[in-house]
Amino acid sequence: MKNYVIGSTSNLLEKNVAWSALLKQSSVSFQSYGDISSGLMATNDIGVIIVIFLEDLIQNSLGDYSLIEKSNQAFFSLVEKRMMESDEPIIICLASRALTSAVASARNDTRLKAFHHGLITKLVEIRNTSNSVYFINMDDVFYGRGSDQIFSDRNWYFGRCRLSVDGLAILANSIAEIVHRISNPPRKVLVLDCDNTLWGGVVGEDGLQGLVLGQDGLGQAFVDFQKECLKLSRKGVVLALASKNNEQEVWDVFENHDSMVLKREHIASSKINWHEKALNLEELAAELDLGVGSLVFWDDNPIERSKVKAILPEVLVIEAPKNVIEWPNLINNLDCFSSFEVTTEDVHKVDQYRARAGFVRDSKYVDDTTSYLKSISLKPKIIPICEANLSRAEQMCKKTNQFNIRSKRYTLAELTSQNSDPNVDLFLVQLSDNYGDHGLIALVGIHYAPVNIAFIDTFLMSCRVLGRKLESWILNEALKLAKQRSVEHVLVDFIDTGRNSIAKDFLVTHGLSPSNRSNQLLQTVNQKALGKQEGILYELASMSFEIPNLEIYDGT
Amino acid sequence: MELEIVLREILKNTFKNSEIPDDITALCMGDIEEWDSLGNFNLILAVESHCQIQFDMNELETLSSISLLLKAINNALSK
Repeated sequence: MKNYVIGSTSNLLEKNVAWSALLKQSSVSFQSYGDISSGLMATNDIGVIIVIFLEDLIQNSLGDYSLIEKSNQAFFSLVEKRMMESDEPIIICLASRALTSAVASARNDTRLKAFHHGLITKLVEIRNTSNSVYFINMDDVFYGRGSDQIFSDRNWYFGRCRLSVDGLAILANSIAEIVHRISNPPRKVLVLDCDNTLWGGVVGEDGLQGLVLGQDGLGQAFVDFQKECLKLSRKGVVLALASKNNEQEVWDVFENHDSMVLKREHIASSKINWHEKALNLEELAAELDLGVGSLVFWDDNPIERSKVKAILPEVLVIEAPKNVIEWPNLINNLDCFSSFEVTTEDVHKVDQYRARAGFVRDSKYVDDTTSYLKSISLKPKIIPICEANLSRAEQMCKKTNQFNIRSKRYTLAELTSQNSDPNVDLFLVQLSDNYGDHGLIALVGIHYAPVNIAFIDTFLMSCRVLGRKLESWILNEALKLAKQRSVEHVLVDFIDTGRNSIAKDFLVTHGLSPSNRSNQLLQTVNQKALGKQEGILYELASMSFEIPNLEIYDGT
Repeated sequence: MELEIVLREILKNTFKNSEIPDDITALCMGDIEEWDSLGNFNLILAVESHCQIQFDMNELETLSSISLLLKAINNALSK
């Protein structure tokens, strides 16, 4: 469970039931109210939550904000210092009470407005410079409920709490959602039904022209729903179909109905048949090389929904309201897909998953893997670490579970320092083939110790390019680098996480076996702070070991 | 009487780490470790949400025991 410290300009009523959702997933210690700075000086392994009420900042200013500006400066530099020193999240919430009269709004103290906007601008700026800072403008969240419901004068004067019970619950739940999202990856695939989901009516009965799609009213709602799906796809969400239909009829709609916003090329994978949807969802996930936990299922039919829920509880099943006109807004507000860190990789991901699905489908029909792999023109490339790709390297450290020999979750700062260490070779691998550009999909870190030892500290590869024997090529490239440094012993420390057996199989088939020799080697390794042995030490049989599968990559 | 049962549930919910006696009628603020002034505020807010009532400032400052709380709830509900 993650630790957080929370501080606010006013009383957040520690132990109030409002906090229970947050306390379920993390242990939280409350600072005494009014203290928003000491949390920022907590030890670096703790996340910090800060709740600022504009009214608290200005309550003693009597209209002169210059002094508050100064103390804000001090606060911001604390935030900036912390975000340099700690990789743990810093969540900052800012709330202000809305003006209730039009006259007040028209004649409102413009200095106060400028001060408020300045504060928001600064917080946005800080958030944009760091992956660990989250800024919730609570006004956006409170807006839907109305200021009068959210704030309570009585609670303020009685207990120094700005919020009503409802307001406190909304604040606490917003924080809990952010905390949850930080530690849980977003969903990746939206699986759609077709009839009465993408269009009104049943194509098998009503025919192409009989569908409700694109006209005014309900037909427009389906169009808008499709538009929202397309927007998600552009953000990197993979779209798939699971529909009980005759496949040709569905594609006929995609290709020939003028009002279809979604086109066939937007759909990465589809299961259009009469099988159980749960089975189809499992197959879809396998084809895309994802767990079913990555899927979100949208179907108008409550029976299909409840079956999927019962059989595959990991799938997020959207309880779509009966009334389709509510759908566009509902899908627009789904936050199960939103990822906090949008790397440029995410933008290309849809293409990559589509390529991956194509790859899995075709390889079923080719017996001779080697000649098949040769035929798809695999083009791997070593990419040195630089500022532009560092966050991708960190992302892979965080997310790669299967092909990962040590599963060390290195932070940006750690990777940066490794990269500047003259005794470390750290590099990424990019891969493209006939199925598409897979982007940056592997990370390797070799640490060199005295007496000609290379310690492979990081060797991880994204699961979406598994099955291409790329690991062989990468190992060979790593060995080339090691040979340039006259290395004589190559050591790999395999840490079993229960999920990375595939990486262990790789070691064994590539001349690496558990090392039973020379304590001296071990000691040298252990002296190196970076590459401490924690798992089972494997050693390469000899520097001239013939790495298998390289013929696949002959042309590169 | 029924109100007492409800109130005991709210006490249990608000002071999760404390043992709540079967008979709560004589309890005062301070009798339960978690029932300090912040705890009292949380307790009152929970009562308000549950009973859909709102005490005013003057009442709030006097509510420091179960018997006073019961009286105030009955009073608010009868309004």
